[in-house]
Amino acid sequence: MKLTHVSVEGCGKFGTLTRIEGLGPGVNILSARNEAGKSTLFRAIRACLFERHSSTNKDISALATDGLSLPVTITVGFEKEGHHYQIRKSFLKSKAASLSCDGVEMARNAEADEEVWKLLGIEARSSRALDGAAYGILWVEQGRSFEVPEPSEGAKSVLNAVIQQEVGVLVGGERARLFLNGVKEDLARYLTDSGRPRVNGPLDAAAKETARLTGERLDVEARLATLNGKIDELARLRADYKAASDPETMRTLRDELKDAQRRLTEAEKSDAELTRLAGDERQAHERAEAQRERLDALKARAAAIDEQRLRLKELGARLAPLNEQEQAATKALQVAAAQKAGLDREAETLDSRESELQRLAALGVKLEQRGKLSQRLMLLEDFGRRAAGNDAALKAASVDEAALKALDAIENEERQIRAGMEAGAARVAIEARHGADVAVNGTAISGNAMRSVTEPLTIAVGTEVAITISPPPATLDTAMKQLAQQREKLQALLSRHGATSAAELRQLRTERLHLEEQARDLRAERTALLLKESLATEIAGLQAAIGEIDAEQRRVLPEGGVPLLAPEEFERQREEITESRNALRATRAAAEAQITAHQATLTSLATTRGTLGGQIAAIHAQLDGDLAVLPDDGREAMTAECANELSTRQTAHRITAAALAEKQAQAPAEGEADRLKARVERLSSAIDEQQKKAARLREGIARLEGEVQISGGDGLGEHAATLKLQHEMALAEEERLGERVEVLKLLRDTVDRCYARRQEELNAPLRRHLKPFLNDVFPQAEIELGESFAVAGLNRSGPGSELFGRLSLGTQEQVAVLVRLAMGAMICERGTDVPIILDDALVFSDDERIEQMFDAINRAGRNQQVIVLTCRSRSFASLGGKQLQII
Amino acid sequence: MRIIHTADWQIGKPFRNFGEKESVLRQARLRAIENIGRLAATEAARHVLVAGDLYDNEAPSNKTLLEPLERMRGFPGVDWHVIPGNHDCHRGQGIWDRVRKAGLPANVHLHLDPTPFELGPEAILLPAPLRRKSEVTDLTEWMDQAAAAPGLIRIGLAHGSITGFESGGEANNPIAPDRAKRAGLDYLALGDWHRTMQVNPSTWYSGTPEADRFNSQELGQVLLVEIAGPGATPIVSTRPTGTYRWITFTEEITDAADLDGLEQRLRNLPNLSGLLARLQVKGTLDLTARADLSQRLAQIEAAMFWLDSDLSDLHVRPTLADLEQIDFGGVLREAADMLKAEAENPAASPVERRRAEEALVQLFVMTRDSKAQAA
Repeated sequence: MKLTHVSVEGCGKFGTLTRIEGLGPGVNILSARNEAGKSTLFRAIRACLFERHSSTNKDISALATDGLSLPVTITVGFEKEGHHYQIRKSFLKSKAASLSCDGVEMARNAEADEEVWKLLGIEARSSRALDGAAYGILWVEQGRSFEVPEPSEGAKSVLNAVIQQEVGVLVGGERARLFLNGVKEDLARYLTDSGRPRVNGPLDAAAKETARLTGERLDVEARLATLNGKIDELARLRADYKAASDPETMRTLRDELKDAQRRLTEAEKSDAELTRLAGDERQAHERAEAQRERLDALKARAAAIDEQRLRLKELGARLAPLNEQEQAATKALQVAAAQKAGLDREAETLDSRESELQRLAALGVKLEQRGKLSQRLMLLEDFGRRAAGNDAALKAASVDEAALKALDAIENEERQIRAGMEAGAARVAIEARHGADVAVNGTAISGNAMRSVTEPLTIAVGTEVAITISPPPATLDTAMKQLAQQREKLQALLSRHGATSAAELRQLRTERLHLEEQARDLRAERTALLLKESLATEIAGLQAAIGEIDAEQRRVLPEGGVPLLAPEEFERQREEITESRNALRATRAAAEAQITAHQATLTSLATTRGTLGGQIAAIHAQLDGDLAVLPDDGREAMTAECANELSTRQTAHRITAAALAEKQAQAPAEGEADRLKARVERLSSAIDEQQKKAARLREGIARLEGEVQISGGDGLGEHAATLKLQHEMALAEEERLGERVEVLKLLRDTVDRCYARRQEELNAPLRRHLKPFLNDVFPQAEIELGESFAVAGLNRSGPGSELFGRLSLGTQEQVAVLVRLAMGAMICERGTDVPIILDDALVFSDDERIEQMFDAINRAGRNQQVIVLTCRSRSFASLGGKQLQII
Repeated sequence: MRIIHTADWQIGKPFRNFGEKESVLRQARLRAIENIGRLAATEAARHVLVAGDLYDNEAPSNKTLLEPLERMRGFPGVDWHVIPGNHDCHRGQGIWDRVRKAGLPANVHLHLDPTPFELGPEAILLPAPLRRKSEVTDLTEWMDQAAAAPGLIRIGLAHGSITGFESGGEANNPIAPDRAKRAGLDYLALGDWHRTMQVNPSTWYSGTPEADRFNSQELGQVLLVEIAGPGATPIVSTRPTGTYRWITFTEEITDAADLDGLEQRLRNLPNLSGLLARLQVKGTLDLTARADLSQRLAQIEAAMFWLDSDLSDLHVRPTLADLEQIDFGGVLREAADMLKAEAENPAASPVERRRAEEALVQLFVMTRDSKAQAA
């Protein structure tokens, strides 16, 4: 098929009739400025060939010329297999289509639409957009030239058909592809691309239905189980109610209760009678016992009175001899006391004598001490005098170490002054030769002498010659002044310390050092004296102590008194006193022992008298009391009356005891009343509980009946059975669909694997057609083709290929156009001649590469029609081919 | 005297797995009651004994509850005697209380207690109603001691399984096999088994009046029982009452040539439109025949009331011609070869082999269809 002419009217900027002139075989180029309407013409050709004339889609609407009410009229002429065809369509208004062949109309309107498609080898479709098949990949609109061609299903079919013609039917690529598409389409109803169940697809719907039925079934079965449980519970309650409300049972219970109540009343009455009789018996017994005790007490009291009277007699006999014994003891005590008093007086006399002796002895000791005190007093007084003398001498001798240092300093200063004078003074050498009479400052010299002139020096040679040599006056004055100052300082120092010369000052210093030595000795002596206080205090203390001893002596030994005893005498008298005292003490102890013995005798007698008196008084008191209760004259009468009363009471007790025993023999067994009482309570409670239970059961039955009626009446069981069946069916359906999906997946994967294995074989024809085009632009390069003719990469003699997406935009566009050219060539070679249209392509190519691309385009133009639309007239000038014009 | 013995009506049983035909099958069960009523009238059988499981479950909807009662009411000359079975056992406030509250037709007698009931002057009925789904004791035992006037025919009515007999019942409600003899029964009418069965000359299971499952009674029927008098052996005969026939059969095929015979046998079955069939096909077929079989079965299914084909044991063994039918070479042929190898791979699991077979069938059918379209 080759386009031969194109005309448009009312189409885009072409409001009036416009034609493309010059279309022919090989390369055609329509070069025009921007907005000249090239792309409009491209779209118009497509619309005329591929759109139904009745279509009003947006692409068609977009073609209409603004502001005009004309229809969009497009006419396309083409040549195919030696015939000239023309299709003319009017869109939007006055819609019409007409197809003619060699000038003869062969179809109109819809038929014309479809006849064109048949001629072009395009499958007609009514509902979906038309698949342009080979035209889709070979007609490249503006801006799409750099995209890798992605063949539509129709295009794939065309390409595969071509490939199949070349490689033979054994590869079966196109059938496999169509088959795979069918399987995938079928599978896509069930699953998404990621393999998950498609939402609302059959598999998903089945799973949801299963889940829904599972939930509903569980719910209904739970409700049914509840209903069944209630029915069972109802049956149980009814059985219980029947048992609880059985009239025979109730009657039996009531009869038993009545009988028990009657027997209980009787038992209680018997118990009360017994209690009363037992009380009477106990009371009678107590009264008899009380009377017995009263009689016994009377008898005991009479016996006690008699016994007390005997006791009083006995005690009176024991009290009588006690007075005599007491008088004898008192007299002996008085004698012993007088003896003791005499002994005490003798002892006092001895004590006075001994005290006197003690005073004399003490005085003797003190007088001995007085001598020692006097010696120490003299020693201290002597030390005191010497210490005072040393202190006075030290105070007078004021030349201390500082004064001596000051003296040394003055003398040093003077020496330095003089040394200075000497150093600065002229030196005079004098040689007194033998026999010469030479004197210096009046002192004769002999031999060699050397003098410094620090003061006027007079050298006399003989008498005739006297030579005076003086230092310079200024130097001399200065030195003299300094010396005078030193002398003043010396004089002041000497004066301060009472010396007249330096030597004396130094002598005074030596004397002071001697005094200081003495002072140190005195301090050592003082230490040896062991003074506890100051020397003066110590002396005063000694003087006071001596004074006190003297005073004591005067007091003890007044002038004319007893002289001091000799020690032997003192000792003898003292021993004599001691012996006398010891003898007195022994005598006195004996007297005291006698006194104590007599006093003990008296005390014992008094105690015995008291004890006996007390006993007698107590017996009298008791006796008086007993006699008051039981006087001697009424004793017999009272005892007889009491015995009679006792006899009466014992008789009464015997009667009541007999009555009690008789009643006890007739009474029911012990505890019978309690047992009957418990039975009555039990039966009453049982009847009551039975009635309550029946009431409760009635209530429960009514409630359950209501509930069962409500929940059972809606066909729950029937619903559950249906749901069970539905659920099983849903599970089976889900499993069936799951299995169907697995089968489809297996089929898809198997065919996919086989298809992939054959891919290289399927790509070989395209690769062969691509090679010359590729050599025009990329010599030695190879293009890697993937599935469905996809371009994976470009291999340009390197070890690896470059991914298509990483190539420059220019290279991408060139490769994409070359692939399209190869596809066109391949299709063309197999008899399907489809023109190639490139609208504004190669926009990213440089000057060198565009020339190479022109070569490739011209190569394509050798076998098929190529139409190039461009706005770059200069760049495309070297493309060659036929220049088209818009007229 | 003549009586009709029936059981296991199971009114309200769902047939949801039969899709839109469910209502037809449910209606058929009700129609069977009318058939029984008409039969009773025709055969001059005054009493119809329903030996349990009148209803399919204990809690049906009100409509389901009333429908069989109304059908029975429609035959006033017939006395219907009903006992509860394991599907509709009698419990307080249960289904039978609902029935009573709903208004029991005068000619319908519920026997909810084991109490003798006179069937006119000739016979006495000894019912053994179930009060639980599953009884562990023999509820017919009381019949041994049940007193009845001399000269009366003694008829027992029970629902359960004869102990030691074939286990065809649904629940464990034991009935002594010699109950009729022990209790002096002239006839013991039993329910529970959906297939008619004679236990001994005096003891029968009637089966269901309208078949409801495969592998059981094919066509619903009842028993017409004639008892000449006390001690006489009953004469029992079957009477069809069902509309739909349920059959199950297995066909073994190994060759495409077998398909004609199979189709012929299926088409020759009587009354296809009233037939429910479960067909299991075993053996092996090539792909062409397998596809052919599917097509034939689809046609036969349309002719029948219901056809359930189970081809899970029918294995596919593609021939060279089958594979060439897919393609002589190329991608699809390779795929077919791979699937064939997998289907025959002994190391693969049965599921995997089965899947490969199905995929192969799918490949075959799809390629054949596409070729047909292309042609």
